[in-house]
Amino acid sequence: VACTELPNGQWPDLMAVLVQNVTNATSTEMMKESTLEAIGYICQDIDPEILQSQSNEILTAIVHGMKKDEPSNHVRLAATNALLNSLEFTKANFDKEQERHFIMQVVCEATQSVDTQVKVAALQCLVKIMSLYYQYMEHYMGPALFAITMEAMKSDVDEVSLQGIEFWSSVCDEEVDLAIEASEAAEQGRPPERTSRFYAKGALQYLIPILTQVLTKQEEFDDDDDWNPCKAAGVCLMLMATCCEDDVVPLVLPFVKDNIQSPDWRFRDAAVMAFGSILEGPDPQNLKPIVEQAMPMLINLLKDPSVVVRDTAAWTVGRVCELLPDAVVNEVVLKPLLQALVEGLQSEPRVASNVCWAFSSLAEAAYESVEIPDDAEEPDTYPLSEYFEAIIQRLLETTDRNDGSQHNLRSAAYEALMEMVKNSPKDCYVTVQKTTLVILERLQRVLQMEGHITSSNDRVQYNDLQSLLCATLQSVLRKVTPEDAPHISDPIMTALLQMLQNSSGRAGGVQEDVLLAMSTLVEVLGEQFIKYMDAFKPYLLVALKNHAEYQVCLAAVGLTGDICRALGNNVLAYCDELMTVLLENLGDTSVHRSVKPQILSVFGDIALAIGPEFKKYLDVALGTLKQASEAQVDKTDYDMIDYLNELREGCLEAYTGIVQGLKGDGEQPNPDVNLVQPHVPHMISFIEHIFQDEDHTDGNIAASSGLVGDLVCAYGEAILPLVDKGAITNLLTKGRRSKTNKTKALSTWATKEIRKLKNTSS
Amino acid sequence: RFSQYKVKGNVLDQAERRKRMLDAQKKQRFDYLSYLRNVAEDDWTEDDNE
Repeated sequence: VACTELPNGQWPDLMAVLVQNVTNATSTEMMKESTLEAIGYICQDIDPEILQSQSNEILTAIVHGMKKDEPSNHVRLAATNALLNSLEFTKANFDKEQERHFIMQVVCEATQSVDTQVKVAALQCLVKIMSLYYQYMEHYMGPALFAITMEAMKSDVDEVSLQGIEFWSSVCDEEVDLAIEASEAAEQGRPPERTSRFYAKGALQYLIPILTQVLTKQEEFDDDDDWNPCKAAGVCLMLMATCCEDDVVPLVLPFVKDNIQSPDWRFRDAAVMAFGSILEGPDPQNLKPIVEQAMPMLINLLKDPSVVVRDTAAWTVGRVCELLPDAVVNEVVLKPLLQALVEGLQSEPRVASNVCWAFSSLAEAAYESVEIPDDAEEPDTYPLSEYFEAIIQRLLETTDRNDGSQHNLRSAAYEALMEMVKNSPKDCYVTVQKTTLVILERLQRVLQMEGHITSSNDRVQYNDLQSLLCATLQSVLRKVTPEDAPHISDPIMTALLQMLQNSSGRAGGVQEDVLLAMSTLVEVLGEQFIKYMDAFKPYLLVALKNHAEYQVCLAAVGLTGDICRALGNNVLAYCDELMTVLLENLGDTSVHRSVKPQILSVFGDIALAIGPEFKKYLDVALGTLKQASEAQVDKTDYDMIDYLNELREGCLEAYTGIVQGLKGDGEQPNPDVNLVQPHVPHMISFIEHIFQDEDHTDGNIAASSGLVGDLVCAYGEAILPLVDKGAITNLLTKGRRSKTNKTKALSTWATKEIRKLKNTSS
Repeated sequence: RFSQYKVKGNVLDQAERRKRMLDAQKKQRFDYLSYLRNVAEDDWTEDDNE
């Protein structure tokens, strides 16, 4: 009730009454406990701003209940929980030294309570205080927090130990953020607003022995969903490595060396886990020789008798492949590693899933390790070539495993397959061709299953499988040569259309993936896609009208753009219907806003495709664009700022497409482009408006510069006074100084075009 | 924290694949326009004082 009434200015004396209940000496234990619980719930659910003005009174009540002379643990616990929920709006109190000291003293005392629940709640407060008020912690760290949290980490009580570990994980998170802030500030030549006190680095030598010790406390048959100190220690160690970088290595390696061959699986596992956890953060050059040395041992551990150890070893190998691929893509390690990984695919799902991830990373690393000849798009060969077919075969088998739904194994195997295909050189093409046929056959087989699905669980798996097959189809299609594509496109198209038909109205995810696969097919076939247009058009229109599942609509809009690029002028016959639906969508408030900028961009694609024929849509398109370019949003909402920038980029892309399309690509601009000229002053003032908005993006600058250049090329001298002036000059200067090549290129090009014009006119 | 335990780094899930497709579409549009505008992406070697 309070959460409903207080924001509306009702029940103004409530908090005063609650505070009175707690501080009144005659209140019963039950009264105090219930009141503090109520305060806690209100603080938890209400917008912090509402209570800010009453934070003093609320804190008085809470601290009163938390004091160590409070005889009732129930009251203390309720008060500590209430404090936890109120920390966000007590900033004003933390800002005052005396009040801060008092709060910290009460919290630290509560961590020493013999009641576990009070202790845990107080430790939770410390974790939250650390992340909210890091800058104030210096005074308390050495004398209190360090000792309190170390002690907690060592506790036999899991809940206590978890909070101790979480405290240091939060410290790492905070200090990593501060390091990023510091480097950004340095880059901009200013001092950072807040600075790191490097608590993690300072405590490292004391923390690492405790964390590695906790790593050995695995549960034999732990549930995947369980969270325990052992797992928390693994995460904390990982964060320590990210935060403290090279300093971690000498402190962790002795533990790894001493235990990696221990007869006790718990110690072997802890050693591998510790090793895997420190692979990101320290300088890769320093890690590389260490990893090279460890690889034979890790490869062996993939066959360890303990499944826990095999799992951790596979995860660690996966991390090596992702983070330090140079250490394994070499003549010594690669062959034995691949052998072990291929065998690992037959291991338990959790192990095999990690192995799949390793293959994904290896594929990319191996591909990037070879040079692509200047005149080619892909290399002739790469280090995985001789194993390629066997790996693909085993991955295909893995996707078919009966236990593939466990630990995401099936998706992981398909993802590995996609990465292998994507990163394959020329000499693996035959295998890619075969894989394409396998995927097509699977698509056909899966479609025949449609009628046999009874349970909702089967339905979910069936939909996921279709999505994965569509995604895999995209990766193989991208590799198929332009000569081969037409030979397989008929059955692919048939399967995709059937999937659209089957999934209509009940599986948006599948529809979206089918449309994305269709986009790839369009890209591969180019203008040859025209032969499917009549069959496909009804489905495209349905998808464009799917307002309920906006991602389907979005994919359909993107696909429409792809079709325009592929078919060029041949898309003309379909444009009336497409433009009608697109315009309806723009005006329809039930269409998700994220679709609208993309629709504007597609106006540009259509104009580019049909050139002067776009004339018939010109009035309506320009009217819509004027309206869209004048949109305003709530600037306190970051999402809306992003949206406005996307919308503006959409408008700019549309204007560009229309101007370029009507101008044509002949030597002299087609006179039709003059139809747009009356709108040029609006376009320029729109660009100026974007530039003056301090929230503009680099993408906005790029698209604006592009449009300026297009206008100059289309209208020449006539518009020189509009573009050769302050705001536009400043925009182009900013663009030329951008870090993005695209923006730089467009701004430089536009500047040159203006200069050319000035030279000829003077 | 739970999601950070034994986290797999560069896994591309469906959402990420979809996002990449949209980015690719943007790039294709850009490439086509660059062709029309006769702009090459490495054509920005000139200095800034113009």
